[in-house]
Amino acid sequence: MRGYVVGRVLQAVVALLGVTCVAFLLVSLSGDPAFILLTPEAGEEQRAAFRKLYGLDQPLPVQYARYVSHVARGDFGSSLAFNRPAIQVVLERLPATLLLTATAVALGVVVGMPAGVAAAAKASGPLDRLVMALVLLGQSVPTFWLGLLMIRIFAVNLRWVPVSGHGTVLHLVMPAVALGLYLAALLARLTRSEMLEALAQDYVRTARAKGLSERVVTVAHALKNALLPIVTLIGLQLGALLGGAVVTETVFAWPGIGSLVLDAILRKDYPVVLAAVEFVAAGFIVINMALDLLYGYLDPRLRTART
Amino acid sequence: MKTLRNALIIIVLGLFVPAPAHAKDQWVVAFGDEPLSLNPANKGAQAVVSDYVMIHLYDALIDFTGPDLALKPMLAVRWENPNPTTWRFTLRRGVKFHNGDPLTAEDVKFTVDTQLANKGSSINAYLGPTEGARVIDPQTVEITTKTPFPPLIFNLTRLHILPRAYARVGMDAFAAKPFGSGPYRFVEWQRGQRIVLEANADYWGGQPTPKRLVFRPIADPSTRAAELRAGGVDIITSPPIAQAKELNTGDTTILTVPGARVIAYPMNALAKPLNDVRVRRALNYAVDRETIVKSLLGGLGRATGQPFSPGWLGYDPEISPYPYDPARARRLLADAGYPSGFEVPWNISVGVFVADKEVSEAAAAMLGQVGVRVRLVPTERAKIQRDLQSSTFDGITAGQWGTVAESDIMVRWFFKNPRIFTPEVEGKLHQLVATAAGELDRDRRGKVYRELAKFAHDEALWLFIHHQDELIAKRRDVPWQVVSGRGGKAHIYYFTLAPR
Repeated sequence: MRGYVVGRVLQAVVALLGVTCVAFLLVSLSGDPAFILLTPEAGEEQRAAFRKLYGLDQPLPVQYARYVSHVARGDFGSSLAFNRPAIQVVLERLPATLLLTATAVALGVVVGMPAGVAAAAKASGPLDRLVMALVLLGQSVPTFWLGLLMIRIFAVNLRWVPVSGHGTVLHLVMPAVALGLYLAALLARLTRSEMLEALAQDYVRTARAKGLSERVVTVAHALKNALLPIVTLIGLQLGALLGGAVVTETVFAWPGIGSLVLDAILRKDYPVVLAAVEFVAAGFIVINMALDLLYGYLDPRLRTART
Repeated sequence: MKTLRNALIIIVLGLFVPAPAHAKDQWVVAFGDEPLSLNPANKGAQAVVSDYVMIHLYDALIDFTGPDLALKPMLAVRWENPNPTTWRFTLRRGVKFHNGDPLTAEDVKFTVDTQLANKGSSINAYLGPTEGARVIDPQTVEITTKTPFPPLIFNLTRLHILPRAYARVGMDAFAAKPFGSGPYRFVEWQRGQRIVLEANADYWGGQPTPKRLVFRPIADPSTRAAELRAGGVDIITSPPIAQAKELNTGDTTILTVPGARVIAYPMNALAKPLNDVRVRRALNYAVDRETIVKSLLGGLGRATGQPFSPGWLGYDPEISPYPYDPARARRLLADAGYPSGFEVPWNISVGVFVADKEVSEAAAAMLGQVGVRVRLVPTERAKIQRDLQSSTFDGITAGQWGTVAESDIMVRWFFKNPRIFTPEVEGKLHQLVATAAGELDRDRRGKVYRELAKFAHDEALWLFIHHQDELIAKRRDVPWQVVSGRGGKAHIYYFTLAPR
């Protein structure tokens, strides 16, 4: 077990290095921050001083080496735009992102999984058709359009919820629904197909033959065996959402990490981009490790296979 | 029991009801973005949107007023030039910073010194050849320049006066809780959410209304418009043009600041085929700018044939846009030796300015009608600006200019720095820019800029298309008007002052 964890951590460090390198190159090569972060009123003299101030006048490999050595000591550098520690700029957006992510994923699970199970239980029945139609709709409606539609109906016309922003429970409703519905559709589709496969297995027939109720057969036998890919999908979506849901955040002016990173990319504020990327990558790695451990719990066969 | 249940319902519902979104003593203003910092001496970066907020916290020595850009006393009640390189300012008495410190000549000197040392910043550029400041007495300060620098007096409208206490507090602590001498005090800043200010009851200029001023960043124009209609905010900048009509009905209304923004499409007039003035004119004749303004901008702009917008020093109402005349364009192209046209790249920005992509696409299609095959290249803003300044673009480029600068810096950006003109044209441009920069008298300087505008028109140095109106929408029940007629959003105050 210990060897396994150490191996994964080493892998994670290599992955993080790779991620920073790619992100650093992409951001650095796509433009000169001095032309974006200084308004055009600045002349070449000011731009040169700005580059010097942040070491942007150094060759790229030198900049990268310096950056990595600082990060290794826990220093993510100063945001070029805000002139504050980059990690602070990212972390102050974290609570909003976590809140939206957790709510949306919870909503997706609570709505999507039961829908998928129910659809599979009565495959090709009217309920199945209805669920699949909604899934198609949920997956194909663009989030920004759904967001603007909801704003129009529930915030402008009915005035049930505020249009945008962050603060009360009501502010959370529309962004969480917009994001959660997409996840629900994704989960319902996957749950249904995995359930259909599980329900066709021999052990299900055996369970039914033993005289177990259909409910026990569906939930305790079939669903438990269908869970592996479903849990994987939830984990991956969770990781992806840690990086922020740019479109949802933008439409609802939600102060999360996604819109911050988008702005940082446009502004060539690479310390912020990199701090966020590393944070998200680290989150992904942790989730992946957690998933691996969870697999062992869900499927005892994997436990022995590993050792 | 029933009462208890009802009470519970009310309590539970109460938890979900947001605070009243809009009370009379608070105005909420939504921009598309939020400031990078509220510290005017922020090291390096600063965004224009920072100024939209900072003008409420700080005062400058001088302010602009009215559509004709007149200078108006602010912290300085008088100013004079004892000699061409010295500016002497007499300061207003009894002005206090929000922490209670009196504002004196020492603070002005401190500000000038701080920003002169802040080399990698835009504000540093505004100071140009400024040498330093000298305190004569607590109410008198002199700013000296190495060479005569007439634009300084305009540029000082951008210099927010800092308290000397800044040095004691330290940059980071000051940035976290900034204070100046302006009409509003800083209360709090929740990043990505809101900046809250409260009225400064001791403001020298009068009693500011409203009591609380809140600035919110809402990136999506449609969301900004929806917030306005729902009453969540009171004033928004840059509403979506497509909704302009709708926003001008019911509870909300649209205010326009005509022709504020310069929309530039400079051409590389050094390389073939655009080094031929006939070709550049042909391009200008081939574009139906009236149609572009009418259909793509909903009429909220103006066709133009010169680099300056109305309200800018140098704008000449006598210069009319090139008429739409495709036949003439074809003739000119044939004369220049391109009877079957040519291919030309055009670097465009996408979604940076109002309808930027759409305007370029329409113009490119019109150019195609006379045989000029335009290759539109969506380009990042940083690259567009660098390519223009280092003259490394071919054909046409987008080069939009904001609404806040003084003409001097703008003409340097477009006509002095880039090496994209033939020697004769460049010689004339450099001579005009230098003459204007050395001219202390504002009227005479305006005349030189008008000459430059005419020259740019005649030589067709840009693909001239339009000026864009700056749009603001507000709720009708907010007793507020745009005060600055100049159009610079960095000079729009979101409050009113009542004399005491």
